[in-house]
Amino acid sequence: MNPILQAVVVAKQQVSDIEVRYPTYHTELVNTLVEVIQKQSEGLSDQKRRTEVSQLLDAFGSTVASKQGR
Amino acid sequence: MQLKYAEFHNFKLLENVRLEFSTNRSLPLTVIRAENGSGKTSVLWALLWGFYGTRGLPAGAHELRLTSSAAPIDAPVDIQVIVEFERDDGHGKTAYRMIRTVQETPRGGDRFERGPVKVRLLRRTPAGLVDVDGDPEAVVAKFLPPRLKSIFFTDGDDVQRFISGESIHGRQNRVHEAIRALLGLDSLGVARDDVENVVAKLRRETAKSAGSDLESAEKHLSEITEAIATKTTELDALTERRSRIASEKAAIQKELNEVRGIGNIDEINAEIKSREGELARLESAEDAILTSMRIAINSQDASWALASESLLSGYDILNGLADRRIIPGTSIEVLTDRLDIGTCICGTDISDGQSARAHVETLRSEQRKVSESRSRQTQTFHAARMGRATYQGQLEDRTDFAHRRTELLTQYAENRDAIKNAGLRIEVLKEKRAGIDEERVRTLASRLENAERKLTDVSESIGRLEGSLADLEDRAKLATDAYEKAERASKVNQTLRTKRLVAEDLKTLISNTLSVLESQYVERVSTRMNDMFMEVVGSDPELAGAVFRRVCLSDGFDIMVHTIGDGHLDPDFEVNGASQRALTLSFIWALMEVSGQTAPRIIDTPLGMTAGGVKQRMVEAITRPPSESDPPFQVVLLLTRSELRDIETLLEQRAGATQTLSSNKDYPVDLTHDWKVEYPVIRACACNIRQFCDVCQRRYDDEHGLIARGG
Amino acid sequence: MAEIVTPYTSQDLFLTRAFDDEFANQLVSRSVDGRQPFPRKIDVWWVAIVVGAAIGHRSRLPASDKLTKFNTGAILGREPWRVTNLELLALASEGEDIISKPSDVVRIGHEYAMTGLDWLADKVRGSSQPTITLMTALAEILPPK
Repeated sequence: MNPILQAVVVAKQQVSDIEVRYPTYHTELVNTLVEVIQKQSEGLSDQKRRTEVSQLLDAFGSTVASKQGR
Repeated sequence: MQLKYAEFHNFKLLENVRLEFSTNRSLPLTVIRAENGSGKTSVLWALLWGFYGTRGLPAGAHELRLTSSAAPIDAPVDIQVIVEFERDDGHGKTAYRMIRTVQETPRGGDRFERGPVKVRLLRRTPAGLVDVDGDPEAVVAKFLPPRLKSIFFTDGDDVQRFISGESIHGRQNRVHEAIRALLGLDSLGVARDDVENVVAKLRRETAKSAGSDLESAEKHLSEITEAIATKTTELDALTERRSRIASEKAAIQKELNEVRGIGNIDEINAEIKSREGELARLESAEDAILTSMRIAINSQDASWALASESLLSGYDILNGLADRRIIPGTSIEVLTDRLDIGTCICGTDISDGQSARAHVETLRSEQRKVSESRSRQTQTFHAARMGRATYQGQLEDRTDFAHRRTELLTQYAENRDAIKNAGLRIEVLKEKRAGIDEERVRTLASRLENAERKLTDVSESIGRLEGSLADLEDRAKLATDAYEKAERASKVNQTLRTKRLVAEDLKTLISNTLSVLESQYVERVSTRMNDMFMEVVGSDPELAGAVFRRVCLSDGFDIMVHTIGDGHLDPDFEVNGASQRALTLSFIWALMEVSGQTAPRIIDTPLGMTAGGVKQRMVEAITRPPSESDPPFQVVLLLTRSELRDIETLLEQRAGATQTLSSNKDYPVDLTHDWKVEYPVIRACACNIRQFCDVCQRRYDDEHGLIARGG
Repeated sequence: MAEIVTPYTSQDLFLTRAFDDEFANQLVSRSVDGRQPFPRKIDVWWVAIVVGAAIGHRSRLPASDKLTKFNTGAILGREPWRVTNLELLALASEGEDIISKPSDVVRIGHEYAMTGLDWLADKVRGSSQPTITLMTALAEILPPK
């Protein structure tokens, strides 16, 4: 099995330990995880990749914040 | 990923060699038949160089020249390696071609000049071959992670690296790394670090925007986190060190036991001392016997014994005179004594007044009147009487000189024998002791003590560090709580806070996923490795005499070998070469299967040290075609003719491609035909394992039943 | 019983020079250990006499330049039984009257000793263990049991 797929399967189980901030939080968290991993296959330098991951999380964080109504 | 073919130009002796690899799913094996010195290592290195450059070569070979040592000086040589391979990237198969070129000019001896290396990675598209986007080396590194090259390209002895090496810690790390890399866990690790980076960044931003309280709480937390990282690195180093010392200690102990096995030196010394004491006593006894002999020789007993005839004869003359009353039968002294006592020798009362007394007195006065010479004769007679009586008595009870002599000579001989035996025994013991080499035992014992001390020290340091770390972790928790409290207390931007919490959630998710995956994989690899190993070494745990019960990967990423009876063996030095090879190959195969990795497995001389059943089963296990549901794989074996022996049929059944490599350096000793080339070179030919041709024929090929290949 | 010894105190006692030169060191030693069979030269002389008597042969004395005087009869005071035995040997050789002629008794002793010294020399020559060698060799001249 594709290693990423493997990771997703397990992540889906493990995510239940995390606090549900809003109904679809878990699914979105796992998706973000996949996106973060995929950044590694874009041939970017470490610096660039971290910046992009940061942007990714920034965007997701904002979404979460607005969904939580704050 | 599957190799299709490789071309080598001027790489060492590989002047112009092309190798084809089998891409047939049901015939995953490619056999390259080559004797030692015929290019097996060169092929391996050429592939490594082709993919990774000089960094891909084994340690120690990075600085080596790539041109043949027979290449003329000052003449530039174009070295090139081309590898064509195929890869399934999820959207179907893509063909690639890797081309690495460099110009090298030998300058005499080991010196050379090398120009810049040109690397191209081309992808086959409908429009033809196209350079890939990005750095070709980076792309290849993704297909074949350099860290794992020893898994993909394995030389027979290299195969040991997962189970032997300077320390258990080192081995565990290599195994851990291999698992991570192959099972894609690497990327999770990297992802986690990337996210952690974001968490730290968000904390700093939050702290800055919220004011000094939060800032200092953040700073405090950062410091603790950094301290934890530093101490963790220290701990790793110490753990590695401890493991190394423990291995050293075990080796010393083993050597000491071997030397001691000859015998306990203290016991031997004690026995030697005791025997030497015994020897000294025996030597004293000998002196005593000799002294007794001396006394005996010079004694009256000896005189009587030796000269008895003459002495008795002389005595008889005097006795005769006494009988004829020419000399008195009794001496004056005796008569005087008797008169004093008052009783005659015969018992008669001769005290004062008795009539018998006068008779004795008369006898005495008569004796006084005897002449000088008679007087002398009388003296001698009486003196001799005693000697003679003693002698007669000794003869009767066998205590005469003759008997004594025999007795003493026997004692002497027996004592001599005992001395000889004691001496021999001492020599034997001394030799035994010399075998122990006291010096060596002392040295080893002292080194052992040293190692134990170091081990204790390191363990103590580790204990302290672990204590510090636990401490720090407690403080980290407190600092985190403090931070969060400060965060809540301050009028912090809630959005920022949410972002940080989300990032932390993600980090936790990734960490947990990583550990679960690791342990799942460890278990699967472990099981698969065990199945294959037990199949190869042929141990049925139920059979009496089977040594191996089970092999597995521990949680600490250690390859463990369990024996029947619940014992276990250290795979490094308690398992024999053939089993070590089987173990490592099983581990690699298990890894590749569980991870679904399709990288090719190229192995040089995998079967050294194996024979018979193990050899058969090993080849059977590593060349078995994949089942329907398994991904395809490739295995390339570089084998000598002797490695091929006894498994020809099996190899023929599994090989989808075979070639032979030969070197003209082996002419005329082993190679039959002269290639008529003035410099050493390696050539490939299409001969399979049952054939020979003008290029590869060796002496005795026809004796081994090989047949000429037409053309 | 010094009385027994008195007639002999002024008699000279001899060994052959040859024997003395060759064997004194090998055979005579005052020290207690038994490696050498004889404590003093008188003991050599006496055992030689006894050996000569055992063999049953008296040999003529060589010229006086071939003899060496090692002591006088006074030394026999230590073991008076030797005087007695010497007289018995003399009696056995030359009859009852010999006993009033101490010099003849001593002569007879010397004649036996010459035989004995030859035998001793023959047996112990070259031996590093003369006591053992001698003890063993005596078997040849001990009367049969």
